[in-house]
Amino acid sequence: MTIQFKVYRSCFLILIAANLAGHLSTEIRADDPIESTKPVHIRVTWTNAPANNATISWSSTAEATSHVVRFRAKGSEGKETTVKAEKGKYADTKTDLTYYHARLSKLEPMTAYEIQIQNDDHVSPKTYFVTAPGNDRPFSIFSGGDSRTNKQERRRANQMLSRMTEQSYANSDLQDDIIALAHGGDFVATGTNLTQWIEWLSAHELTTCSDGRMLPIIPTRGNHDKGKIFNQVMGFTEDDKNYYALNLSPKVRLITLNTEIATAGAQAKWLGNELKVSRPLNRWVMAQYHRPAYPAVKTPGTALQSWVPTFEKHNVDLVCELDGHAIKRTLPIRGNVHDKTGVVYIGEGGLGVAQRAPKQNRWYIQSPGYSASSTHVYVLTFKKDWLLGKCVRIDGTIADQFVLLARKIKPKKVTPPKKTTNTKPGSESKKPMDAKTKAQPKK
Amino acid sequence: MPDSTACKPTFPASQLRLVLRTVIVLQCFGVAGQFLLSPLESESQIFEFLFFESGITEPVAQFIDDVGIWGCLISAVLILAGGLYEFRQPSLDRTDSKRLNPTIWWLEVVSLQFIACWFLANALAYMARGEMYWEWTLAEIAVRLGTPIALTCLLIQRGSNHVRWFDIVRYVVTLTTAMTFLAHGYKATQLYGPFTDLILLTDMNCFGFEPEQKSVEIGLVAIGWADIALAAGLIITRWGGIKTYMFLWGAVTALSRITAFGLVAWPETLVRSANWGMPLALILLCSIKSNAVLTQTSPD
Repeated sequence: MTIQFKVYRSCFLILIAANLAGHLSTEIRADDPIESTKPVHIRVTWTNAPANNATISWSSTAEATSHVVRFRAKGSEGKETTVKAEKGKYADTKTDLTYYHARLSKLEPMTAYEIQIQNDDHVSPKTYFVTAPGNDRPFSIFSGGDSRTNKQERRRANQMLSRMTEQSYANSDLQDDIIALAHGGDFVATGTNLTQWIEWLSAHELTTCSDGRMLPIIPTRGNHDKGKIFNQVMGFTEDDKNYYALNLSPKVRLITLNTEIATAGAQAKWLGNELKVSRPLNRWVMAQYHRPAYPAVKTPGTALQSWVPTFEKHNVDLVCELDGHAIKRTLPIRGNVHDKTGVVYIGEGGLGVAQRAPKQNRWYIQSPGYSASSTHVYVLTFKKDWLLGKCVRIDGTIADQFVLLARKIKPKKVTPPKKTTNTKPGSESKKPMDAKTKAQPKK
Repeated sequence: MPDSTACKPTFPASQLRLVLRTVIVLQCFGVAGQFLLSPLESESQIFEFLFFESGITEPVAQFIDDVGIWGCLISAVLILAGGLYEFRQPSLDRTDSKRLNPTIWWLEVVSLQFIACWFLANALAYMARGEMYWEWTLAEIAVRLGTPIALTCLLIQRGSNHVRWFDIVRYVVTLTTAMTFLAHGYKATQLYGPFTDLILLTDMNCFGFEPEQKSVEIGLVAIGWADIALAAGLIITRWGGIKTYMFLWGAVTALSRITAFGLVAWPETLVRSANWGMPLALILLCSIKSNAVLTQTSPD
């Protein structure tokens, strides 16, 4: 009787220990089973002033009654801050899945924040992310997209992103530090299919580094990302139009546009106003959107009429386009001709999707422009005098490399309009960034 | 005693064939422009489906795509040749009393079926890829499918002198026109972005009124509901004004590609020739019916 009791007690203790070990694990694993209120698909998105804000999102099958994220500066002994997440059901009739978004604000720039999610009694592994720089330091970002098909290739591409991010912090050189992924859209093949999103979300967890560092994502809507789920995954409000602008540092502005709604009209006006204000304040201004104006493969999208004249008027430095599933870098273009002062367009998506042969006869990808076909991602490095772009293939080799010199833009004293034309709730304020920034210590 | 349904050869029947032939030829040249002739040529939905969704290699998918497009172009030339052959016949032979030369007849019918199949396959590929509003695809391109089917019926009718073929053609043309207007109307009421862009960019290029997007969207919803009402009206009434409006509006919407994107968008305009061509065919069909009725009431 006593022996039997000891065996039962041992089994019970082992079960408790295993359960605790599962709860206290410090590693995020892709493809973790989705069960009850256990938080999975943990991710960080940047859609608003990323030096001070971030959205932490996750999912669970059962709807948790208590759903919070606890965070504090990594390595500090200070008290954790708790933020309650908003929640909702993904728009899918077949799969019952709940999403959560915790909006973190008033963060310190360039600071590592350790986060832990608690959904009822389920606690996630501790992980961390780093806010965008608040000072004018060099840094890098990934620019890529089209991860909708070829799931194995998508996973390989995400592992490559994780590896490259880790490597970028393994030295004392600041300029190669990769701070985020600007994703140009077409995350999945059918945007209304939650099963495909679940696969993408699981695969996205592979971008997390081995030490738990998460790669923030700056999302763009692609033509396949139709429907409500995109906004639910990326932490936008339900009726968000998905065009916005944010500063990756005080001198680097990234504008995200949406080619899946009307491109002329309100969006074009917003772009004009945005560039009028942001161009004189920033050394580097770049844009990303899905359907290309200067495609390497397909026919031009409406961006050619709606936005290209505005890009040229305000001397945008670089435009990232997707959708074609090829590698391309155009000649600098102004007025639809090669012009050294023009705008360079890169693209066109290769984070998993099958790659196509570019149409080599198109004038704007002739040498010294570039085009090729391979799974790839761009690494863009922003420095004071120049911008270095590297197109990296899945095997780590460099397909293309280019340098853009900083334009001599006369800084203007710009008074922001009283009533901003940006209708987006998450639009970034024009408030100057906090000068008191601390640099992320190198490994 | 003549057959009670016998239809006296009528001039509008050959006019109807001329309209449908013209529309099909323009459509096919539009397709060739999109996917073959334009300096910024692209690939069809069939290519996209084969390459991205089915894992077929790019050269094979490209080959199949090229075969389809060249097939459409050759078919268009054959249909054009058939039309010219008919036009060169003595005026009596141009009527419906005689069949065409069998070789030409077969070539035309096969060509028409090829074109219809290619348009259908493209629509199915688009649906299979689950793109925006994929569930409306068949309705949206119904007129493009309906044109070769209607002309096939007319070619079968020729020589049979049987009025029921005109009825079949009328059903095909009426139904497909209504479906296309219904689908476009629905998308307009949903504020489909590219439609808004067509209006805004046309204004930017041609007028310069610079309307607010909100105003354009209100207009677009009104246009959408008008399209839906017209589609319903076409089925339930015989009022000629509906067909005339559809003809004019179909031409405007096809031309809007050029007014919005410039002359480079000519293939987009040509491929939408059925938008105005089918309502025009309906107008002609009405006059044929009138003639047929007259013929029945006053036998030889």
